[in-house]
Amino acid sequence: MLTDYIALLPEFVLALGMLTLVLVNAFRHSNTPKTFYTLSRIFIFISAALTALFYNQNIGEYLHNNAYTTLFKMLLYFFTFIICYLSAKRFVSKGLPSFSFYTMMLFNLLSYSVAISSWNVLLLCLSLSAAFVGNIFLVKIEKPEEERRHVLYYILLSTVVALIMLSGAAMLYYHLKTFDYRVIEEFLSVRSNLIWQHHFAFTCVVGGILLMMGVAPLHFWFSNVVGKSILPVAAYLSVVPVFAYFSCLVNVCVNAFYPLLGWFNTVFIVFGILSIFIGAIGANSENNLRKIFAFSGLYYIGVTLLALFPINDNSLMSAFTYLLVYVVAICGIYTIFYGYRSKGKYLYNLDDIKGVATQRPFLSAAILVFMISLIGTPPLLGFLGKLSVINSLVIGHRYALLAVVLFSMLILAYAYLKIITVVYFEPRNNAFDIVDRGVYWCMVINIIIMLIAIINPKYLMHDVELMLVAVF
Amino acid sequence: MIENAEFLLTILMSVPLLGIFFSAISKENPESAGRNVLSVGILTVITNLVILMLIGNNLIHGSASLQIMKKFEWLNTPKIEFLFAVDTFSLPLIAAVHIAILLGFFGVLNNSYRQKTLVILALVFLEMMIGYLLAGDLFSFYIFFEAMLLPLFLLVGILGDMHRQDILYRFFLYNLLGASLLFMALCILFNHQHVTIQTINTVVLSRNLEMIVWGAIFIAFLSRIPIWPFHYWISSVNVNISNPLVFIIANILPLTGVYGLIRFFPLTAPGIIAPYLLVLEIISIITMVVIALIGFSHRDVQYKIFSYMTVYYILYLLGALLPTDALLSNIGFSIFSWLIIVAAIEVIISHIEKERQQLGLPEYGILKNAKTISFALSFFVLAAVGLPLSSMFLNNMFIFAGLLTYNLKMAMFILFAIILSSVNLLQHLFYLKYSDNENSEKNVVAIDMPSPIIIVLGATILLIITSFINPLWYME
Repeated sequence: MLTDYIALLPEFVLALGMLTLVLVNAFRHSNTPKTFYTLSRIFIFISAALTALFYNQNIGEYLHNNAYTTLFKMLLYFFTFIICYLSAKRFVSKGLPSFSFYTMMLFNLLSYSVAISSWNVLLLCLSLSAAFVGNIFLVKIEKPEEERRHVLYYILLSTVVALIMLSGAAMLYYHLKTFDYRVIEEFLSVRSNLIWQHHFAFTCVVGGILLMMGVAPLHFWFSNVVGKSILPVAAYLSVVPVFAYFSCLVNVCVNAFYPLLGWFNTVFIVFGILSIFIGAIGANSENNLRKIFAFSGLYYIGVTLLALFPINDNSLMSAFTYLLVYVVAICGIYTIFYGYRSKGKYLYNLDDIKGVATQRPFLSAAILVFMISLIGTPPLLGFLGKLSVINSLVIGHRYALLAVVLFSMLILAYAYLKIITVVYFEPRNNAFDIVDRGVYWCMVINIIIMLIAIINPKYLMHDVELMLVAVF
Repeated sequence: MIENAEFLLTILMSVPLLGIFFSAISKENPESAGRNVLSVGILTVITNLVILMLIGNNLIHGSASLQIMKKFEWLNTPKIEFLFAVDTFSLPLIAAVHIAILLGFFGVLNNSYRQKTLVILALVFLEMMIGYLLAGDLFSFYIFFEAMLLPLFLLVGILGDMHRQDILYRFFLYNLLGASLLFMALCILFNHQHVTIQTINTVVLSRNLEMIVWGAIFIAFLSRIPIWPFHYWISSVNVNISNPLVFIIANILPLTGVYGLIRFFPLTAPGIIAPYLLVLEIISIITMVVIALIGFSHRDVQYKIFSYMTVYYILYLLGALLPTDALLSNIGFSIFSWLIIVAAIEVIISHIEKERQQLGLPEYGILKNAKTISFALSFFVLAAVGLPLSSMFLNNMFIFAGLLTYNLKMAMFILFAIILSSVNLLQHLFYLKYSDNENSEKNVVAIDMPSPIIIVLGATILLIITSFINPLWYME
């Protein structure tokens, strides 16, 4: 009995971590911003270690762990830790409370961890919705009452999304009397069983995940929220959740709704194309750096969707590689945003960073490297992602989509060129603060990871491929 | 001869990387004025030139196939292996690029504005050019084809006096479009039959796919050559550059287009593209003549040099498109001298222009009292116009003979454009050497040139003469 639940230890540790943070906040009076970072860091490490240890343990019929889930969970832990580390610099330098942020980091990790392992539609919808609704606490951090319009907007949106997903799950249960992935797939495999309610349920569940990912035309909330939140929250929302959503989307599509996928493939492709165009054009229309990268994120999610569907070994590998490469680069970009400060204020407008290259050459070289990687220009890591996606599209003889991806990249590249121009060619109009050494460390580590991955990707990709196919 | 000479290729590609590293960490202060980093750059290029000599000694002359190969397994799924190799066609081009950049380094000897950035980006560009010219497989070919855009974009943007950024954007985006088309085509070819560059002519595709693939490849390479409709942004970028190193690097870029076409279509253009070749040839010749006329009508010397370079690039392109393989080595060794000569002219001209502006001298007759500079410039200009001073003389005769045999009318137009572009250079040389009487009194101030540059130019003259003495070195 106990061994059945021992694999829940990582989630238990995260819950314990949250409880500890709440208690420390309530009863310890000499807390500093670093206190909560230190505590959450310990719990994240322990939880990550336990996840690796119990990588193949199942918990009853609800939660299944395998190489696939472990891969995504470890990525979540890794990138959450990076964001926590960088955010600590900000909270410490400003002397602002960090309790809400770190508690929500642990809460989201817990929710995403459950969602990734979930083999139960209700559990999936509940955990993802909980994390999405819980982000309300992140979005409202350090926002005075008069600036909270976007918070209210987010509350409304997240509630609607949660309701949509849960109504999908309820609809399924009403007809099938189960939430279990395998039973659902077996039932749906019989073509004569299919009725419109099943399609509706599928649309609600998958549509909810797509909305959380910010896929066009359900993207309307993302750039707004990212653009108006504080830097740690913007960084977190841009970097971490996408892995959880991607993993859950693939898992639920492959193991529960596979018979309905063919029906929905066209929708995925249309959403993908829309995301690509809106992302590329939207990035060009913004001056807020975070919004530019939020829109460019939309482009990458769109390409990921195009590469992913129809799902098979090859397309999953391509889509995952592309996504990973994107997240590594965007994590690097946000690391640099932590270095863009003037008089203690974090800068996020294009006009604020004019000529930064003359005063912060390494920071500017790094943002150049990350942006060129995002364009997919060799010899940077982005090329690996571009290669895998283009190759996948060519194998599938989808030449029209190939043209869409490449043409839109040119539009997106224009937005990046604007940033490069501002950073390198414009005269400086700000005195930039000294950059924290931690930011440089993160930047260097990120670049080293990129270099190792691009110089010899075959060993890394081989293992990743083996882990990914465990989902089938 | 060295056994297992492929390690030389590894060294050749590693040296610029080391140069970039040492340039990045070199300490600069107001007294050194960028000399430290420039020394690193010069040393890097000279080291590579020595390695190139060793590689040259290991090449079998008279063989057209790739030699001294180095393979590197990069990815399992899809299975991609990088192949680097050299032959008698690519070796002189690699050497010419090195020497041109070396001359460029000497050209910026007295520059103090962002010297570190300049040297680092020049070395990055050099690394990409080496990789491109050594590439023996589809993907490494593409990787270096696209990767060289970034250092060039930054060089032109930071140091190229570019006042209109939209031109710079377009320059980058059109090149990126070309690179994207190439990538798409190469992916299709790779997935179809896993072909290599050597076997690319044997590939069999459906008619539509063949059109897409070869059309994309053709456009990709043409986008690098200043042929209509690509001439506008390339010329706009080039004529705004006053830094000699940046100008030289920007003018090496079209070489990648010509080289790509030669590598991909070594003997004949694929059947599906063949009917369009005549259109391309007509456009090329019109572009040649128009650009030569533009050079003639402009007083700005940068226009004249750009027009001269464009005309010759198109000449080499048309030579490469002839239905024969026999001229490839002629083209390669002619480009060797030509690139070095143009780099030397650019270094001298930009130095003269700088001195003229500093000393407030008139434009005409400035070389009247500068015998050494006058001699060097005269030598390079006369070599550039095709006098028997360099390997261009004999090799260009072969190329031109091929063009005459193929199409007499076309060859006449080409000859007209070449003469016109040569007249452009001679005209400017004349202005610099001889003044009218009104200004002659003002020309008593003699412009000077630092002795390191004079020594390097002297060595370059010797090299050019050597190339004239042995213009067919690649023959058995």
